Amino acid sequence: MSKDRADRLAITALGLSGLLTGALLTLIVGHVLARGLPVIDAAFLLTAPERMGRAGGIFPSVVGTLAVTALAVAIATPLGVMTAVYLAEYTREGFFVRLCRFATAALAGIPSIIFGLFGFVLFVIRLGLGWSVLSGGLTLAIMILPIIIRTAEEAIRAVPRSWREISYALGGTRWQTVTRVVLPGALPGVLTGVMLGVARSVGETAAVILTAGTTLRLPRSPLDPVRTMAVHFFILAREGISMDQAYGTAAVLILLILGVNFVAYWLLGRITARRG
Amino acid sequence: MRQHRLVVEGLSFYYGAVRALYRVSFKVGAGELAVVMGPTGSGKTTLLRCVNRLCDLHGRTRREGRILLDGRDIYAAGTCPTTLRRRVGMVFAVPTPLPLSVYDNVAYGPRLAGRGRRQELDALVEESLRAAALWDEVAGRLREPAFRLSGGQQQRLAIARVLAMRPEVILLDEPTSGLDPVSTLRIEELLRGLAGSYTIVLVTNNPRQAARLGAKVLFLYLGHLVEQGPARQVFSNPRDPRTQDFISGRVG
Repeated sequence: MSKDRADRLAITALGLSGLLTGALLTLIVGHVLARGLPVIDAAFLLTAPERMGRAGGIFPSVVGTLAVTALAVAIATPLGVMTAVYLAEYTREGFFVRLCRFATAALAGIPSIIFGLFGFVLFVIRLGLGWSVLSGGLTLAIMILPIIIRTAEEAIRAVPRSWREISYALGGTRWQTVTRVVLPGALPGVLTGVMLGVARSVGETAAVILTAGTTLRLPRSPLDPVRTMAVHFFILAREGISMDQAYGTAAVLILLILGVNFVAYWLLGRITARRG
Repeated sequence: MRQHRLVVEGLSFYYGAVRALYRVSFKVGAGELAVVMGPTGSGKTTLLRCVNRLCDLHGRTRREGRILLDGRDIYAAGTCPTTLRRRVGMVFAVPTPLPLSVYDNVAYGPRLAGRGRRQELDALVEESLRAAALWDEVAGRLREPAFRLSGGQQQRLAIARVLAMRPEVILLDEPTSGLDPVSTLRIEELLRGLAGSYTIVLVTNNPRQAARLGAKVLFLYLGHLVEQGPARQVFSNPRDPRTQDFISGRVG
């Protein structure tokens, strides 16, 4: 086979792979939106479900999802970024760093239901938090922590060494260099990790069923149980309660993730444009 | 007798098992412009990085010998590298602005040192940019991202960034290696003007630049300081055949 033919074949194969991936994504999102969007209106978003979810809206689940996710991200982001800074900037490659990295990688590969079980035993039972926003948020925080650590560490390591050296050469301490040069430079990558964490939290079912509960009531405090949208969707579909309502919920879920991503990257664009 | 600002005594440096410098000794007087020339890989950059202790950042290195700044050993116990680096500024080979505006690049060092008052900073930034012969070109663009400047402007910005620290010594690591001839001449002109007010050590792999700039010239070859002396003597009457080969373009 001539080199030219191999080249053309490669281009075709690579292009087809890209096309297939794009088509699959469009198909899934399109299918959910096509079935779900007609169900969504203001009432669907802002009223409580009726008859176990056969009718009415999903307001308590929207609130529950936002609360559990916000809590998880608010806990996991600072913890994850600080761990990543420590691993990337404050230690030399050694046994402890490799152990940390191995633990992070292993943690990232654990099925979510195991985190659910752990959260159930620790937060729900042992610490007496019960099925609650707090238990669910803490469990999800542990679950997304490795994702945030890994992406943040990679982003931090990708910041040019020359920037650090300039900062040190101008009399910067390690902490000044980290906060003024390294973290701002790593911000896009860190944000990507946080967004992955948001998506995982919003879409998680197994871990939250075991820790946040399945109630349809509106939560009044962090110690109240909630049914997140993903869990609501799962129960509606699994128990054949209402496929229309299930699709509606799924569509809101997808729009929420898209919306959060859009806002986050828009903000990032504004920050980096100002910084130059 | 002229006071020696920078004294290097028997400096050796090792990266693991690789030896980069062999008992290098020399002195630079206050306000003097010294040029260290030598081919790539001769240890010039390592030498500079020892003087502001940037080599501390590497793991698995070893150093022997002393470096005195105003008579004090900069490696003595209790000497803070951060304080030292505020007195010994460095300009790197590749012009690299920090991802900040022109203004914030110049103000970066003073802010780290805690000088953050607006009026004081404004004056310091303007003064530093003027001293680096850049003010007229960027006066209206202080808020623009620094990476939009040309390569030559970026390197003068790097010099302004160092001047804003009001250092005693300025180290320059092949500062014109990536620049066109016109930008190179501008930088050299600028450095000649700064000599006298600052003690300058410049490293270059270009013997002609050393001849144009240097009052005092040192030839570093494979980690050995082969020759040092006034520029006129080193270039017209080198003592070592290796120096002769380098300045005539047969090596390097």
